[in-house]
Formats: sequence, C-alpha cells, structure tokens
Amino acid sequence: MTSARSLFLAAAAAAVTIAALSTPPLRAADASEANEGEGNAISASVVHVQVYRTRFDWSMPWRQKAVQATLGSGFLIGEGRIVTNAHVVADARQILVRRPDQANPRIATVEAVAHDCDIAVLRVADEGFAEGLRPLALGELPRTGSQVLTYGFPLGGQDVSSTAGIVSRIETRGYVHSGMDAHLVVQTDAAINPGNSGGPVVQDGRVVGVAFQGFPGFDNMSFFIPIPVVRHFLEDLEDGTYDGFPDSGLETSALLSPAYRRERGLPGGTSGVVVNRVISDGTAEGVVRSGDVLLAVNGHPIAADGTVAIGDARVTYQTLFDYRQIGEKVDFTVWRDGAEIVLGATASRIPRYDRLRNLYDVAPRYVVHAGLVFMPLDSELLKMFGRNWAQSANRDLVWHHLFREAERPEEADREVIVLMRVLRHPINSQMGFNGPVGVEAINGLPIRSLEDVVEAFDRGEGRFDEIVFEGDAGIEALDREEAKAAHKEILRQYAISHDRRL
Amino acid sequence: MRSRTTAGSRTAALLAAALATLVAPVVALGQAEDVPVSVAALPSTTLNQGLRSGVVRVLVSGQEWNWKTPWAKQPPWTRPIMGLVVSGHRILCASPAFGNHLLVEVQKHGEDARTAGRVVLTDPEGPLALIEVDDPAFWEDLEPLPLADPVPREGDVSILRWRASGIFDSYPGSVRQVRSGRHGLSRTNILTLDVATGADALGSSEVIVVDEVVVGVLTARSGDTWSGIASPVLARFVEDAAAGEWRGFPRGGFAWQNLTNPALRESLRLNEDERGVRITRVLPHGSLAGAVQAGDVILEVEGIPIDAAGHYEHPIYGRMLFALLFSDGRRPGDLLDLLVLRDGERLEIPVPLRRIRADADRIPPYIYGHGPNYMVVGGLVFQEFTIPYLTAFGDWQRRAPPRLLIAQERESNMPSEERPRIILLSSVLPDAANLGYEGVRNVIVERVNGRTIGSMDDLREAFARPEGRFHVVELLPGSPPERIVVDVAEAAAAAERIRAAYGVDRLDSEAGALR
Repeated sequence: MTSARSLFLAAAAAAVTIAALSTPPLRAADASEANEGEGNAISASVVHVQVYRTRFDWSMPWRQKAVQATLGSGFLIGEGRIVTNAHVVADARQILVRRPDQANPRIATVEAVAHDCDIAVLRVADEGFAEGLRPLALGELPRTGSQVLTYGFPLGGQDVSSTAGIVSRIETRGYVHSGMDAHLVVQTDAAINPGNSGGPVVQDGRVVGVAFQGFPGFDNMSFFIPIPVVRHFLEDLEDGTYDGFPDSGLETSALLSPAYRRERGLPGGTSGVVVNRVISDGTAEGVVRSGDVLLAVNGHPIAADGTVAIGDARVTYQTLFDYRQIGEKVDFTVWRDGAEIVLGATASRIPRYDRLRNLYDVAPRYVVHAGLVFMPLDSELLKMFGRNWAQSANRDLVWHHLFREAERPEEADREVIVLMRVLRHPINSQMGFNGPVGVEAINGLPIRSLEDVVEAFDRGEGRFDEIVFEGDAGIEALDREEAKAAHKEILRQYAISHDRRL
Repeated sequence: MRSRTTAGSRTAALLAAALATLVAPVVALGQAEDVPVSVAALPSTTLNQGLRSGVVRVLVSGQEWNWKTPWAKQPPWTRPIMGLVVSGHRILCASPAFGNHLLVEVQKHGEDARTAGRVVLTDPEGPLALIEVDDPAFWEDLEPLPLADPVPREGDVSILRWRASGIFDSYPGSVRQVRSGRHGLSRTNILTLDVATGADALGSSEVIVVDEVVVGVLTARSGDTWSGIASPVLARFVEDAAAGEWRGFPRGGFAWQNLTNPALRESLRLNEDERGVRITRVLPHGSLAGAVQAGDVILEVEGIPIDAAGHYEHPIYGRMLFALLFSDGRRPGDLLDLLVLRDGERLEIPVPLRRIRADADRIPPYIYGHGPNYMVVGGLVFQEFTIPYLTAFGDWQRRAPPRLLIAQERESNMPSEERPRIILLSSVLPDAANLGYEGVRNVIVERVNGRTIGSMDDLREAFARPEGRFHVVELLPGSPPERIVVDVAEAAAAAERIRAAYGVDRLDSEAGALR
C-alpha cells in the first residue's frame, strides 16, 4: 500500500476511457416500469454533446493534428449549465449540445474543466435552450447492491437511452483521463458504452454520478464518478476558479506486519499506516514526520491496510483528501514517540505533479533553435515512446519522471529539458543524435527551464554553441554564426511559424 | 587408396603452411592450392576425409541456476555442439554452453560411441573453451585442421557439422564481411567473420572452412547472416593456452561519442585534418582507467588514426571499429600507445591493457561455476543483482521492472568500492514472520540494521548484528514498501519452517559447500 497515486500508476494501464472504446453491441434500454414517468423527466434534461477537437502534436509541438469529432453526453444542473466529462470536451474547438426533444444543436462553451477528476461544466449562451427543462438534483453516494439508471447517448442511435444496473462496488481507482489521479469511483453492471460519457447516473430521481470509464472487453464492468467528487468540483468552482484536489504529500506503507507494529511501540488494538516519506509542498509537509504512524485523518480511523470506511465501502485513506478543498483544515492523528497526537495542517496541492498528468487544453512548450527542438519532460513527451515507455524510453528520462522525486527529494522541483528532435539542415545534420535526450547545459549555463535554453543561446560567446547532454550522450556544438543565419530558413523549410512557446 | 593419400598429403601441406603462420603470420589462403584434385573421382566415403578428421561432435550437459529461486537449479539440458581438433590433443569450441556444464562427451567420425572429455580452459569473453580427452585411442585417427591467418574478406566457404545421425554436413556459404564483433554474453570486441548461407539452425560452434583451412567457428545469428569467431582469435587462444599463458582478452573499458560534426571537432580544437572520438565515460576497472579521462579525444591508437565515427583502417580487413584495436592480437599487460587531445593539448599516453573480469562489474554480465549469491532471512530472499537475474524475465528489455532497467544501464559496469554490488530483495516466501510483505519483489536494498549494503557480505554482517529486537530493511526510496521490519527471534524461529515449506536446502548460499 502506498499513496493513491502509485496505486493508480499500476492500475491505469489496463483501463481506457469510454470514449476510446470500440463500438460494442448495445443493450436495450430497460428502465423499470415504476420509474417510467420519472425517467421521462430525467431523460429530457440529458443532452447530446458533439465535440470537434484538435490535439497538439508533442513530436512537432508547433502544429495541431487534424480535427476529430467525438460524441458524449451531459446533463442540465442549472440555468444553461451542463455537467459532462472533461474527456468529452478536452481540447475542444467547437462544442454543440442538443436537447433530446429538439433537432437544432446550440453552441456551448466550457465554463470550467477539471482534468484531474474528469468533470467539466459547459454553458449554453442561448437563453432559450433550457426552457421547460428541470435541472437535475444531486443525490448521495449510492449503497452497494442498489439499483441505478444510466442516461446518455451511446453510439447506435440518436435518442437518449437509459439502462439499469446494480452498484457492484465502491472503491478508489485511477482516473484514466488524467493518468495519475485516483478518486472514488462506483462500479456498476449498467451498460456504459462509448457516447455515454458525461451522462447522469440516477437513483431515486437524483443524480448519483457521472458515467465515465470502463474496461475494454468487460461488458459488465463500468465506472461512474460519484457525487462526493462531483460536489468537490462544484464547490471548488463557487469562487469562479477551479483549484483542484489537495495532495496528502504522504508516502505510507501498510502496517500489517505485527513486528513493525511492535517496533513502532504501538499498543495492541490500534491500527494505522507508517509514514515513509513526507513530500514537499503537500498537505502534511512540516507537520507529519517520516516514521510517524498515521492513525486517522479528520477523525476517520485508518486501518492497518490503509483503508477507511466511506459509506459501506473501504477505500484508501488518501480518498479523505477529496473531501477537503485546498486551504481548508486537515487533522492528522499520528503515533509518535509513544503517544497519540493530533496535528493540524492546511490542505495544499503539489503543482509539480502536473508533469505526471496527461495534458489537455494546453499547447506544448518548446524552443526551436537552429533546428534543435527543446521541450520540457512531461507525460506527453514520454508517450511519444509508445505505450511501453517506462521500458522503451531513454532510461535517464524515465528515471527523472518516475524515480527522481523519491530518490533525490532535493531535486524534486527541477524541470528537465529534452532535446526532442533535430530538424536536419547542413548546419546541424552531422550532429550526433540518437533520439530524445536530456540537456545538462548550453554554453556553460545549466539548463533547468526553456527560458534557460533561450538565455543560453543568447548569451553564448565565441565561435560555437556548446551543448552538454545527460549520461553517455556526450556533447555537441553548432557554429554560432551559421546557426543564427540558418535559423529563419529552417523555420521556413519545416513550416514552423513560431520558434518558441514558453 | 590413391585418393586417400592425395587428400592426406594435401592436408599435411596445408597444415605445415598454416602452422607456420601461427609463428610468422600472413600466408594468404589459396597459396597451397596447387594440387589439382578431381573431386568427382573420389569415392563418397572418403570425401572431405581431412575435414571429417578435424571436426568432432561435443555433447555438453549442464544445468543453469534458477535466478527466481536461487537455491534451485533449472531443468538440465544437453546440447550437441561442434568441436575443432587443434594441436596438442585438444578440442576447441566457441560456445556459451561452457560454464555451467556438468558433463562433456565427444564423438568422432559420426560414430555413436562417446568418450569423456574434460574442459581445461574457458573464456566467456570469447566465448571459447578447450577440451581434453584422456583416452589416447580417441586421437588415433584425428588430425588438427590448419587455422587461416589472415581470413578471407570474401569468397565461398563451407560450414561443417556432424549430425546426430552420423551424417557429415558441409553447407555452402560465403563470407559477407570481416568485422569487429561480440559473441554471446561477451563484452569484448574481437575479430569476427560474418557468413551468409541458406542453412538454418546453426550457431553451435560449426566450423567454417575454405577448402581444408579453418577460417572461423560460428557462434550465433546476426541479422541475416551467421557470425563466427575468426581463426586468428582461435589460434591465439590455442597457442597461449598450450603455453599455459592465456590471460584473457584485453578490453578498453570506456564509452565514447563520435565526432562527425565538424563544428564539434573545431570547438574541441581538433585541426582540420584531424579526426577521432570523444570519450564520455571511463570504467574504473578498464584499460583506460587512470590514463584517459572523460572528455579526452582519442586521435590515434598505436599510430593508427581513428576516424570521426570510431573506425580505423585495418591493413588487411579495411574499415573496422576501433574497439578491436584493444583486443586484436594483444594480451593483457601489453602497452598500447594512445594519442589523446585533452584541453587542446596532444598527449601521448601509454596504456597498459587489462582484462575486465565479469565479477568486477557492479552488475555481473554472467556468472559461471557457482550459483547465485543469496540469503533468506525470515522468508525475505536477498540476492545480488546480475544480468542473469534480469534475463530471467524473458523479454527483459520490455518486461523487467523499470528501476532495474535503469540500474542496468547506468550502473552495470561502474563498480564502487563501498558498493561493489547491488543487492535486491528479490522475493518473499510468505510466512508468519513476514506478514504484510508477501507481495514485495525486485526492489533495491539500501540499508539493513543501519548498515549500507553494497555486497552480500555486508548483508550477512548486518543481519548478524541487529540493533535490537528487530531487523530493519530499508529499500530504495520510491520502492514500496520502503522499510521492512521483521522480528529477530521470529525470523530465526521461522528458518526451519521456511526451509521445509519452500524446499530451500540452504538459506544462505555461503553456508555448506554445495557449489
């Protein structure tokens, strides 16, 4: 047992977003008779979301790829406000929403998007859009074994479709869209298929979740985002900006070993997990110490396997941080020096973890100098090495990305700049380049940001620009005057309109 | 009768010529080919008589250790390979089958009878092995084949093999190139002969000949050709071994980058007509250690210029990778003169050549002659991180844990005095003594009982001296669960239980003498 994040890194590879699923056979809608009238009222507030998106190309960061059309669902929560998944509207250039009872789509804009919990709020400017529609009310976390209905626009037809299912289990699991965050999810056997993403999951006339992901090949295993996560997002948004979820900043291990419990001097009957490391900038920094035994968070006792009770489910204690907004108070109860103490902390978020997330709605940062393309190391860059990047990418880059934070905490914040590509031209074509490699220094300046790259080339003296790479890749040099003279020509030849995006 | 005499005398003539080349080399192939032989006229039983007497079949039986359960061995194997009869009543094989061999038997002339052989010398950096057969009767109708020096850069060859059925195969092939190459698990670049042939399933020490002169012995497939160790390497091995003086292949021990970029050369202050390569890493136990530094540019080796891509012009074979200069025709202890550019200055640096033993690497590339160095404490299995451990993952470049792959790339050949080895907690044998740690595996151990762990001996001493009632194992940060605690008394009490439950004959590879 470690943090929710590491749990997720292991789990994420197997799951894919609903949007990525191939078209499976559809189930007939089978909303029960008793719910029919109510079901119609709910169906009316479920909208069809058509999105036209383009992604930037991390292998050629100045360009965007071809437009893709994707479909999703959403539901009305207030005057012209629609909730859907972040992955439905990520990188959208045009969003069209359509009521099930109307033919004409309306243009919607993103009011707020949370890629860390896969939720977005859209707004339709056209005031008449929601006329006669009842915004759906939010419910609570459903009980396992209870029945839920899903609504949405799965592939295979134009009309809203609904299916019924049982809540199979409640757990904390990785959110595939972000690639690193883990939050509560509810697993159901209701059919959730491509196109259902963003649609409401309903119980007793109230929304208890947002359909969002599944496993390809597992027909009876789909997931929806439960209300505590949706509420966190909406409450966060009340001040007009989305800040995200707090990070515990704790790396802990389960304390199932009786020997370890004795070594910590824990009295019998107590539980809790042992703190291996406290991560800088997280909630626990300066409050909890390595070696402490974490007994409770916000008064919720933590079992020796690291779980806490939420509803009728047991989930990792890291889930408790989803119930706090950034800046709110968090109480840690720890066992330290033979005594139980309660420590107050302020919930905070670790911004550098953004590098570990899949990136959306942002353009890749880069600098092109004389055909050399420099970019910061992030998840998107590593994905250029394929699905198996942890084994197939440059090993130094993998180390920076996955292991440096733990092994060299003093370098946790360091940004790594990668020479991603060389756009061949006579002035650089004889440079040795065997694939993306980390850059240590340029013209004597240690490189810790793209700005450093710009400054290093600007301040160079002497005849050559000298570049030092990481590991055994050695050094390289460019003739400075030739490089400067060729720079514009290279941009033109390779159809690059801007030589940087910092 | 007539034909046999002809074949025999021809072999003898060739033999004399080739034996002389071992002392004073460079007799071009084909010079002795002035005896016309009408092959079609020969009765089939005597075809290739000389070759049949110079190649034997060697049956090697052995057993590898099981790196996942280091106290146990894998299923035993028996591999037929070819052996080349060499002078001094010895048989030469180029195969990685030796090292964990248990039984060696030889067969000649396609006969079923097996005669016991003894391995007298192996060098996995070949890989090469010499076998002796004590039974004098075995040698009665065997004759060494001559070894060519130099080997041809082109032309037809025959690839020789005894099959289990007693059939003597002679496959046609042709020399694709002579190059600098490595074979098997070896890290040393040696003179290599690439042969194109339509034959398949080779690479078991088959003998390559031109007429009746050996030009190499096949080791493995390499792309669309088969690679062999060229005969001059074989001759040197046989000769030095006969004199009792085989000291291994010398190796440079460095990483380098090319200097094909003119701007880079100029910035490093090379003259316009100078080429060379830049050293990026010097292994502390290699030949360059203490003499050459990272950042130096090697311009010349023994007065031979190195080009910007790391090649030199071999007087016979043409363009070759310069790593070959450290091994080709040289012995450990020989001095090699380097011309090095350092900070704009040209320095002549004599480098005494060294062999790099596999066990000097931090992550040894192969282990022969003994099993994994391991110990089991309270069901926690500790062992040295070795390349055989990594290759036990199968397609390990894609399957092994990423952190182990990083260690392999960065630290394999970078020994340090404090931490000569990387020690892994490789797996856990579940038991009450290790409750909660059942799923831990493949993690790097940093400290045990407060002591930094750089070898299995460190580990043994650390476990012998717990600081209290508990053994505390600290793993590399970021490797869950990072810290493991087991009760000293419980671990001791669990020893017998674990031994019995998991069939672990010895809980410590150093205990007892099963090696």
